Amino acid sequence: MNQPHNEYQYDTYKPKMSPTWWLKSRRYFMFMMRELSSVFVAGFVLLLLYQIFLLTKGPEVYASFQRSLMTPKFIAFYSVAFVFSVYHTFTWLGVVGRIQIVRIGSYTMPPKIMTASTFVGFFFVSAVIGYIFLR
Amino acid sequence: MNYKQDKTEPFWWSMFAAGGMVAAMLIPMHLFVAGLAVPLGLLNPDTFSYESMREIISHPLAKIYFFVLIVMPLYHAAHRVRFSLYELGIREFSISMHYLCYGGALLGTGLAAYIFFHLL
Repeated sequence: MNQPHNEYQYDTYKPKMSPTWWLKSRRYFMFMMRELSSVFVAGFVLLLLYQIFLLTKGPEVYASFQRSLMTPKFIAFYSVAFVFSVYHTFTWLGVVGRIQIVRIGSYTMPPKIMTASTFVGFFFVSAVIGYIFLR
Repeated sequence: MNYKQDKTEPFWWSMFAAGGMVAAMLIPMHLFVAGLAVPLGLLNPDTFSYESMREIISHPLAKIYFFVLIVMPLYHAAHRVRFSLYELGIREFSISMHYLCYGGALLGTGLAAYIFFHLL
């Protein structure tokens, strides 16, 4: 008996959930997809890191990676990841208004204005990034 | 009952929030530019050629920008993966989920720091 004796010993309450509970409702499914979006975003940034790492391996290696970006597999990954990342943006910025409450004196900024301003920020930042690379 | 207070949680949560913001604001356009603009014919492939990428990344501010862009979403993903696994009914492995998820993010941070500030 290594465990100390405890007069009040309760089992921890562990609710039993089936591993597929999130398939049973559209809302639950979209919630899990939102969680999954982070994995695609992480996959993309790691791929970007790898691409930048290949810069240290010389022009030929880097160029062959660039060519592989044109293959259907990569295009498919980027397409799916893009949809997930946009979904993340909309869910994330959609709740900003409820999480970040701005009070100036006795005035409370309506959540809708907070959310709207983050969307304006998102489109502005995207336009700047787009302008830098796509012009 | 002894409750173990998790004092690291606020730190990981704030990293999650910051990472989520980076992911929400910056990632969609970067993803589009990096992977879809060239196949769609909107971007000259030379924009990301070896020479021009080297030139972009040689600037210290660009280095910091790309470092933040790459590292922060890892903490965001680590946090979400951790709680998604809980929600799928997986509790704790013999290795704490903290180590598995946040450890992965820290590993990515170290790797990115090594590449950006040592190799390049």
